[in-house]
Amino acid sequence: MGSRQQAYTNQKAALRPASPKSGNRSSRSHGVLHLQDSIGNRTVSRLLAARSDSRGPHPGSVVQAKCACGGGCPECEKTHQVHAGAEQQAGRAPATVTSGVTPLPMEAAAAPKVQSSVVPGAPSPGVEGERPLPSSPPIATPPVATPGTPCPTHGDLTKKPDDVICPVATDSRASGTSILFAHNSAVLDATALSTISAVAAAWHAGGGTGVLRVDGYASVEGGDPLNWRLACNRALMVEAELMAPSDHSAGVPWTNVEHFAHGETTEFSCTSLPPNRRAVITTPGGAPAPTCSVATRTLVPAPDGTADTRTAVGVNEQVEMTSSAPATWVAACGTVVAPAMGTTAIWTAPAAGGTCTVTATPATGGPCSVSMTVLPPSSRSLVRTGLQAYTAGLAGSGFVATVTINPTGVSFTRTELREDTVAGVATGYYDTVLGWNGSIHPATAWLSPDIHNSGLVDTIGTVPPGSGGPFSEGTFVWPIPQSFRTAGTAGTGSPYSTAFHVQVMIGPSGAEGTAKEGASRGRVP
Amino acid sequence: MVTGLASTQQLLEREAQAWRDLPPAEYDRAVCGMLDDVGAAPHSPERVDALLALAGATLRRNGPTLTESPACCAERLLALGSAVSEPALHWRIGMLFLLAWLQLGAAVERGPESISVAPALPPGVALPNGVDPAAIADPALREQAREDVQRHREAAERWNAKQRALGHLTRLATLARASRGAFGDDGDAARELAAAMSLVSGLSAARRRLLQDDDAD
Repeated sequence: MGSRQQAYTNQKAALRPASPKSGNRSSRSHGVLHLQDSIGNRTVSRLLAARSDSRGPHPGSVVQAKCACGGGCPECEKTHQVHAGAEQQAGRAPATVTSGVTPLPMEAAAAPKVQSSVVPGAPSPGVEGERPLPSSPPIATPPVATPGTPCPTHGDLTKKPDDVICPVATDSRASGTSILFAHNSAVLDATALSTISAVAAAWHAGGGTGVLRVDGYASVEGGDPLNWRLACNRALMVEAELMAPSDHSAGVPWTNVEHFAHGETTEFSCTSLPPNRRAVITTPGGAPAPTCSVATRTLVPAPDGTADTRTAVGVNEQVEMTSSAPATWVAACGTVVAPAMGTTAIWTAPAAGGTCTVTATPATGGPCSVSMTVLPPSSRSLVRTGLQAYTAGLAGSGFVATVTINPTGVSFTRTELREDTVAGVATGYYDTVLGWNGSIHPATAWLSPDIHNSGLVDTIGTVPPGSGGPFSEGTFVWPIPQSFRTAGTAGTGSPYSTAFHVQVMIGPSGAEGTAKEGASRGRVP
Repeated sequence: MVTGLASTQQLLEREAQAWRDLPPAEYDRAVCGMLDDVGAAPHSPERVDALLALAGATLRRNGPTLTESPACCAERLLALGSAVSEPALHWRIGMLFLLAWLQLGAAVERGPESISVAPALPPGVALPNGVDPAAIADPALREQAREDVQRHREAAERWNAKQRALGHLTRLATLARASRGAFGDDGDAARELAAAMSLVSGLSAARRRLLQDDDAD
């Protein structure tokens, strides 16, 4: 373990609550403060800066400049004034906001505060925000936003204490997987622990790549400085749990988690405080972090032996999907049948090729999905299994073959196929002696292949006992269009290939060859 | 009377009329549509009665290529079984589900082992196999070829019904496993039902194991 990782592990350990046996639950809610007390703000800042160095700054973050002096020198004061002044002047997020993310409208210092006048008195340093309101005079339910006050509002950057170690988020991630907290608390309850563990499990199930982002928020009662601390604490507690879930399941490596603080907010509700006490977990694209994973198993094995966990399926093929948590199921294409809020669903692929996403959404947390590739039939393969019996002296080289529908890595049992109508083209012997030019090959019956994409038998070539002379050179070709459609439906289907039925006579001997889709036979009368 | 839907008696009359007037494939579609309508209605005792009555009437039909109507019944019965709690209802749902299952098994039994893409032409016609029988000059051979085409069409229907039935059995085995409790809480009864279901021919060994082993993957 490298020194930086060891240092971060130590930080995580300091953040984690004492075990239930130790009985010190309060240590969890004050973990960051304890950490800061024990190893010092500057050390914590260095640890976080080291993480930031290793990955580069997040595009949505404002990395606060730290003076070498630790704060208070004229240079520091100058830097701070420049930053604050710029934000006030612009009335929006600092210029360091990367394009492509949505700047918060009110995070600048110039943003009017909603709640600052509601809670009388400032909390004592070192005590978390969202402080209970004084009992006298009683205020039953403090208004979150008063009429005429802009909403949502966000934390005042100018009041963010220097000892808050979280980078400040400049873009909104409100639509992620939410972890809610009690008033004035960063303690993770059982639901939160379960959700975070599920997020970690889903991250692993999804391939174990990508950086999960945790954004911490606080509601607006209490002073700005302390709500910055509380928002940061919440993000750090969620991040620590993600890295080492309490249920001892696999965590997300620290290199794949990042945290941000938003301070106090009314982003989640302008009329109620509790919804704003939360942390939000998102994937790099801003989508909610999945809290489940989906396993797939095709109902029918692939003829070529590809595992049933394959994500490539034939048109109309059916797949059993199982989520790691009870979920509601939605398919972007095809159809999905599932017991209400169950872990198992049957997805039926659409009737045309393409890519299709099936999504399971658990009761809490972000959805998980699986992408399926749907393949139409591409061709047929014939394997000769028998020979047509001809009379000596008569021409003919026909045979019987079994038909297999390709590709064999997927199943087409829920598809029907047929040969369509075509007129034959004959030359030489087949035209002048047999008169086959223009012979009509009618459309065959629609037939489903069996679980081996086969079970279909084709008989090719001249009907026994054979055709008589005089023999000469000639060819006969049926370019037979092949079509497919969903089993049990009506309609003309969709073409997918052309099967060439070819008979060639090479001269007066009557020697003939017959071929179709990979199978052939030659015979001399 | 089912809210917004026909009464049970009207449903049964519509089913009977469909059986009398429609070919098997259209009857299948008509019944599935009726089951969908009833299944989409809010849960109520009347809806339960209507579903059970319609399923009972449908599953007493015995067409050689009926596959969709038994499958639709079985799916609706599984959903209904998960929504009710009365043991008597679970028992009846289990019996009707088994009846649907056996009908699908019978469709598998009736299907051929393989099927020709096109019927072979009668010997002596000096034509390529697969040609339109209208090209046969000899009237007797032409008529024989047309009869072969008709027989092949019937065999093709049984073949397709077999493949569809196999697909339904496979899917229903999965759904039945996912809908634990649809046939009640009696473990012995559930195991006996699973044992009866596993007797049907055509199921893959893996699916047969799934039916009989509650703890299988």
